[in-house]
Amino acid sequence: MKLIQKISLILLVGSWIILISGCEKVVNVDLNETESKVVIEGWIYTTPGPYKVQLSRTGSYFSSNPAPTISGALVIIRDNAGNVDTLSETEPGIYSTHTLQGVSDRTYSLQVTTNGNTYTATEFLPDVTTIDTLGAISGKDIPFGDKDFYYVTFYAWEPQDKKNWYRFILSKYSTIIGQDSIVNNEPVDWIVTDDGFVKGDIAELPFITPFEFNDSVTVIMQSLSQPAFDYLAAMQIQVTSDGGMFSPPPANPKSNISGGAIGYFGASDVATKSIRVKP
Amino acid sequence: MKKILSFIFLYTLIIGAFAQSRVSISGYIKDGRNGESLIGATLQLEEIKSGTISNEYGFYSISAPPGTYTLKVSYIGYTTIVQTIQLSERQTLNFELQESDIVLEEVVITEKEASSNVTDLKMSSEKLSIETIRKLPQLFGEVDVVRTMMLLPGVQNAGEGTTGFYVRGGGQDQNLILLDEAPVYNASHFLGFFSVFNSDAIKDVEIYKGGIPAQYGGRLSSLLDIRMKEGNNKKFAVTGGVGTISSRLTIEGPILKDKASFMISGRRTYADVFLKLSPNENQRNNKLYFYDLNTKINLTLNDKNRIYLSGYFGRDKFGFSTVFSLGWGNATGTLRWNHLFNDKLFSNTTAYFSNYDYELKIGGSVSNFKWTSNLQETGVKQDFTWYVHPKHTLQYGVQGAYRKFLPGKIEPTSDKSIFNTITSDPIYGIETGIYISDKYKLNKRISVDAGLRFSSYYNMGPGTVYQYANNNPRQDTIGKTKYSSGKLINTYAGIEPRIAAMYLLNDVSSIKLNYNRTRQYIQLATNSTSALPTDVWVPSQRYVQPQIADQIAAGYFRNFKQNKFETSMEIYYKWLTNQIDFRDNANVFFNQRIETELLKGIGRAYGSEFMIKKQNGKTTGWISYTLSFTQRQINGINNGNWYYARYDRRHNGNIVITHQLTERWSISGAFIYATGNAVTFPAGRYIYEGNVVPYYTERNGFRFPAYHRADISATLEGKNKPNRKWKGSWNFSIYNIYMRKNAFSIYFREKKDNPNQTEAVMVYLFGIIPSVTYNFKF
Repeated sequence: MKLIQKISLILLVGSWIILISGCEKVVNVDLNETESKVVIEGWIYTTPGPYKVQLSRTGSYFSSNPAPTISGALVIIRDNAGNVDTLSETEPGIYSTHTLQGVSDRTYSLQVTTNGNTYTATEFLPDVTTIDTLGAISGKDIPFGDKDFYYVTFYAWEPQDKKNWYRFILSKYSTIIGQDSIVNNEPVDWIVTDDGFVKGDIAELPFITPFEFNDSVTVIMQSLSQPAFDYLAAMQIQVTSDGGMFSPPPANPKSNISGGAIGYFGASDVATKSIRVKP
Repeated sequence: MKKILSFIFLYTLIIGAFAQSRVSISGYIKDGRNGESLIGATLQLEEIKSGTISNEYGFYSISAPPGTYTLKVSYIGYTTIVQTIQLSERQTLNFELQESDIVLEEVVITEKEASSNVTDLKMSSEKLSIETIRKLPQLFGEVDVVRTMMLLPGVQNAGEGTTGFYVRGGGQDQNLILLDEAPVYNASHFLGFFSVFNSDAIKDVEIYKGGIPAQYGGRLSSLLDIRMKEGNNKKFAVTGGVGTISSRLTIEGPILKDKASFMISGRRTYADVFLKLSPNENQRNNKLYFYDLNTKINLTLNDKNRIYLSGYFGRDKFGFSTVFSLGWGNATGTLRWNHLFNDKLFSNTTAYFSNYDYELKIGGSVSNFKWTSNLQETGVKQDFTWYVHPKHTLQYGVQGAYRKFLPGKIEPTSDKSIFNTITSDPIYGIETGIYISDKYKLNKRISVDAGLRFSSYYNMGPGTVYQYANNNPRQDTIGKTKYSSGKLINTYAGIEPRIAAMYLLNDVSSIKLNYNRTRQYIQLATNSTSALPTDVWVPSQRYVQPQIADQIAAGYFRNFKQNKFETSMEIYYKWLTNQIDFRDNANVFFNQRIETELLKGIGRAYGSEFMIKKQNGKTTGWISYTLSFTQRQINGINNGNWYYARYDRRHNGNIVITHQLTERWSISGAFIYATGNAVTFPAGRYIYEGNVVPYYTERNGFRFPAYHRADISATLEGKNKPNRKWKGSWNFSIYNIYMRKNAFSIYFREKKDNPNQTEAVMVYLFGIIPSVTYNFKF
């Protein structure tokens, strides 16, 4: 529902702005500098690890430097089954797990200690339903579709006994001809959604991401906790906001990390399915 | 409640006691050309310097000791009637004023007496005539009363082009917009670029920024009172216009000469007609239009009874191929009965209906659904004006309104749709009001208007109320209570004093004061700055307390050069409580328990307004300046610290001038300057999953660049040939003549040549916009 809401609003406002011949101009804006905050990004999945926790800092908004990383931190992840994994820094600011694997219905906690400060977060890993199958239809048959492209459709049974939140990541797997060894599997789009108003039987639901004939597409469906959904949905709104009068007021997504850091520590059950796009 | 009633009773007795040994004259004041009643015309008995003003229906009543008087009836733009009357017994005198051609001559008023802006108790209010508005430059040539209102001090817009307005720091849902006594819930077309009021159908527009009479309640910050034309009761007339955006046509005329008349007026845009010409099939299927229909019938049964029936219907339609469509609109209907119990007691009974609804449709084979929502209000008002004595005018009455909200209903539009049919619970409420006020002329210098209003709101079943831990909806739900149909769920009530006082310093200047308390039992839940058709009205309920505002204002009024120049200075301070805002990144869409997303706080607004106005002569217009501050303090936003509202404007200046060049040509110009909107910009950024995410510290801590623009227009009236019925006029407007690029929004994006770097991009809507409108009359 969130998705449709967003698309309709963007569309609505977008076409209005075009209609009334809106114009753009790059301007100089002086922004106040603020003290730098610790940023934590980490996810646990039910697919095999290692999983990564990234530590960085906020930077100046107009800075041309990449975000500063935090090295030498102590990063520990525990679950409520008694497993403990102390992560190792494999690249500057990136810490990897060793043995841990996510299991649904468990609760995970993260502890990060750096520069004498400790940041903690706890997250529940909800289970996810399975994807029955995927299909593909021509863009001319779906709303918002571009007739020159194809769109992946989704079939599943959505459990109706409790409220669920999801993230879908669509990635394209393409083989570059002549160089068989080089394969490219990159996420091209992601959306978050809840199951509000949705019937259990979902058939032929298109994702609004265009693909070309013969693309190999993987759909990754992840379960989310409600706070994780809120975080990702808010982040997407803030990243795509045009700051106009039809946009919600700018606000930071609500982090689940205590101790003054921002970012999110999440845990997801994962279901995956792939398809080669054919009409 | 009982106490108030007995108080009213007692009070009327006391006043009645000294209303003896005077004779009264009463009647109606009308426009001689078309029989339209004139609102706010002045009637003066020269010898005793006693006067009155005609009410919303053109009725007046005044009493004086028997004797011979020079009676003067005047109205701006009309020739004053001076007549000697013998007053020995009560009499009815109706007046028909003729429009004056004296626009071209400078009027010389020799008498040294102040005009009503100085002597009347009213302050913080402005009235604009449709004639004035019509000559001013307009966006796309669409004559828009609401947009023109924003040229007045204290009335501000939210941004370029919008008709949502903010009065003295109040939110845009805090304006009571009445069209012939019926509230209009969404007064905008085209997502706010035009207002729903078709200027051809409107007679009179008045805005109260403060000093709201006790008669009106339900909104905190302003009253925008719009009265439709009654229809020419002398002869058939057709007026119309062809403009850049829309065309209009109005037909009016007598049903029974001088007894009954009708008016019907329509307006429609035609942007979609051009879409049909597009070579692109998708473009051809797009829909984009709005229309309005206003109609009114009035009937004079006899000297004592009049009936008015009026209606409005308007709709917007926006469709994007078959994929998406959004339609919304208002419908209002009003039936009024004016009854004269006697020459001193005027009664008006109103029954009205107002409906606002919208429909959102998403197409597609499986993701299709239709979402509808509506709000209905049905109400009755019984208002009395008792012209007890020249020193006392009493107004009292009772009002009641029944509201039904259907926040939303989702239905699949085909069997294959993945959506269920879901209907949110309707919300029912009753709002009542009872009021009394006395306009008391203490002596030649001092007048007081003391009013009291008692309002209450009853939240009725069926409905479900949830209980939360610590009584805090932001915490866990611990239970729920179901209420059956007709059961009282929750009640709010309170007293609203409305007091105004005036001290006449001398013939040309006065000081005025007023204090107002207003209560509002419904508020608009909007998560964006500009109102969208899909914004939800939230009635007061268990966890949403009514908003309350207290405003004090003081003003100094002085006229110069025989009233040629009217100047005023006002200062105000307004306290607002129970203000709601959404928590950060709230889920507003189809949320059945909206209380879980709300944050509560307080607000304050203060400032001063200066204005110089010239209403007579070849050159008319005004210059105004407003200094204002608007702040909110809401726990959970901006760390609980005070922050400026987005529409906070430190400085706001307007210059509006119309000059009659020749008999046929007139030119107008307007210049607007305003401090930029207060906005939130990021203080830093960070990377999360490869996204560059802005990091914010302070709400609305930055400003857009200052807003300013100038508009000009010229109006050419057709030649006045005595034998020709057809009268045409051309209006040429240029909006934003020096092509100022005013910020509509500022957003940030990665630089194309260096994705590591971010740049700020300003979006502006309008460059220079010329437009031509042809108006006709026959």
